[in-house]
Amino acid sequence: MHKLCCLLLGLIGHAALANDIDALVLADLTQEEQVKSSDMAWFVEGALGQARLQNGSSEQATQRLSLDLRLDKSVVADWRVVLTDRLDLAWQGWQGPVSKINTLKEAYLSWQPQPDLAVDLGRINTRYGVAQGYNPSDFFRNGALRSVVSVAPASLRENRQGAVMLRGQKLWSGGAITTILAPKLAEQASHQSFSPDWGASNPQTRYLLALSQQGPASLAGQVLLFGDADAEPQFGFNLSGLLNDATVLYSELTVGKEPALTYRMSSGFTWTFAYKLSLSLEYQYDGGAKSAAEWQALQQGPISDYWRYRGEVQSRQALNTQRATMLYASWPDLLPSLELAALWRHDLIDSSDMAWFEARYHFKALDLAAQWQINRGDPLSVYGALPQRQSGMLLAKYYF
Amino acid sequence: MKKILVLILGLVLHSASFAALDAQALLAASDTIRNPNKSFALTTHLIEYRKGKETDRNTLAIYSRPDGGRYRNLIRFVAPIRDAGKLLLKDGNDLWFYDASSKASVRISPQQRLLGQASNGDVVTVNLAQDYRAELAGEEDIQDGERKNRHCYKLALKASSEDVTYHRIEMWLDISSKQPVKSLFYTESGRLLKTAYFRHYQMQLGVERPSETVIIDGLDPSWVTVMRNSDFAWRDVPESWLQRDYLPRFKPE
Repeated sequence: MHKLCCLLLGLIGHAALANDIDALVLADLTQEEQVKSSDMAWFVEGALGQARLQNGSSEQATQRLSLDLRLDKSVVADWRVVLTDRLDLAWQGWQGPVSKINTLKEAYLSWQPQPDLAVDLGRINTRYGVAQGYNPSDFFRNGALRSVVSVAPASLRENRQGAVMLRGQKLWSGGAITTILAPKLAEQASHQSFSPDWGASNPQTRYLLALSQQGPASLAGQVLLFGDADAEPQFGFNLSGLLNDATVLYSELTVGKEPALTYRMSSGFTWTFAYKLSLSLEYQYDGGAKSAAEWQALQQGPISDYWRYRGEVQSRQALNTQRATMLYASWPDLLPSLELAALWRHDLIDSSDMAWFEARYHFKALDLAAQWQINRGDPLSVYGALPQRQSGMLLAKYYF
Repeated sequence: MKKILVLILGLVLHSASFAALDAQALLAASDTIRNPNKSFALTTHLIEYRKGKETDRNTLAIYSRPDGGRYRNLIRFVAPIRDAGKLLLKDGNDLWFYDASSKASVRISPQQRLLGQASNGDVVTVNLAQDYRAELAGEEDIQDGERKNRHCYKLALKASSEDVTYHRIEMWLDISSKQPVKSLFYTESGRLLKTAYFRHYQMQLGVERPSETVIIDGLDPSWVTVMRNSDFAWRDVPESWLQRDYLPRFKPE
């Protein structure tokens, strides 16, 4: 018996050594590939899809072509210029002509006289908040969405325009203080194709003060004070930490007088399995949104009031009703180069749902993706009122 | 008789503690070979193979700053082009991932790996002597990464901190040079996670350091990652770079 065990262990050891030698021979054959960093990056994305509308009519075709450019260049010592722009050409079968929307996402000059001190001026996309699907402390999100091409949280974060502001930042070990002043530049948002849309990004004079500090035991906190010319100041709090090696906990909260004291909150966790699947579950509360009774009254009132409310909510990237949940799953490499993502949003007031799924395959400079989305709910519910009941899309994205 | 017993016990305890101290010193010596002792930068190419076929290739620029025996790391993704400009900040177990296209800094857990087989802990600079207790497990002749026989110390490392990627490591160090030759990484339950060979030693920043690590998966030996280091340079890594709020404005010259 002892001899048999020794023999088996010897065989396993021998096999392991043979595997190691194979791997080392493979490594010997690895070719060097020179890679250079570039100040400019851009991509082209094309999409073809089909949508089935809520009214049960036949399937409609959708098409989109997008160009996205990013330039980040040091001009002279301590000075840097950043420009990001995106053009979306979209055609949806039930909406008539091609929609052309150019979004000047960022255009600013940055001066950094010391590693821990910086001043920026121009249109800047500044994001706050630790949650994934709803960020009440992302105070500059109002009017930021000019062209929505996907419901995926990552897409909503990427395809938005910044606000024109003067920003100063001072950093120290484990913390930073940031001050922002964003002046009023125009009254109304513009739907013109190539408008810089100052009215959407800078509709009133606003200020923000943010203090960040890394705390003990992996806790990271942030306190924000935000205000505008027409309303009482809002306070924001962000907190994130680790529960264990695999779990991140996060919570963000805002409070302010509107005119009654109003709270907004988004809290959740992300749990990563050993095989790299990550699941995020988030609870979202918007005290400024409609309660169950108010939502029901709005649904039963004039339809124009209903859609006006929804338009405002979309512009503010807020919630339509007070309570919602979100589940997000991502699996970066189920198979080599294949990335899977799924999103489920559920409204807790009217029980309507939206589900979205994406499979994305990466080539060297090309991504191919398939997306599928379904909206379910009563006719004037949060997701049941969206024009598409179901849609599918094939995308190709090429990076230059 | 009692005095003799006390003397023998004392000698046994003394020699045991000397062996433990010696193994720890060996581990620390091997750390100084893998890691420069001042702030520095390097480029890491990660080439991943499955069943003999290249499946992924990443290039990372890594900036490390020693801080009380540990390293704080900032990693910039250089290639593939879709990931260029993304950043990973690692300060102990605090990890932040920043995507320039969305301007979002997202906290991730140590288990939320961004690369293929190589964990976040593999690509960053880590002083093992800080987080592991080493014991000398003997001397062995093994084949190194260049298929040459090397006479090595075998060290058994046990995690002494929770902020580590692996619970247990077996490590072979060349007896004369203290250069790390090979490591086996295990889970808490004793399952082999990966094997690593440190090879192609070159003079970098004043010391002979491994320019390549070959990582072989413990479960699937046909899953191989080649981690190739180049462009070592002394580099000031200011304190202000190593925090979440700085990530949106990070731009190396």
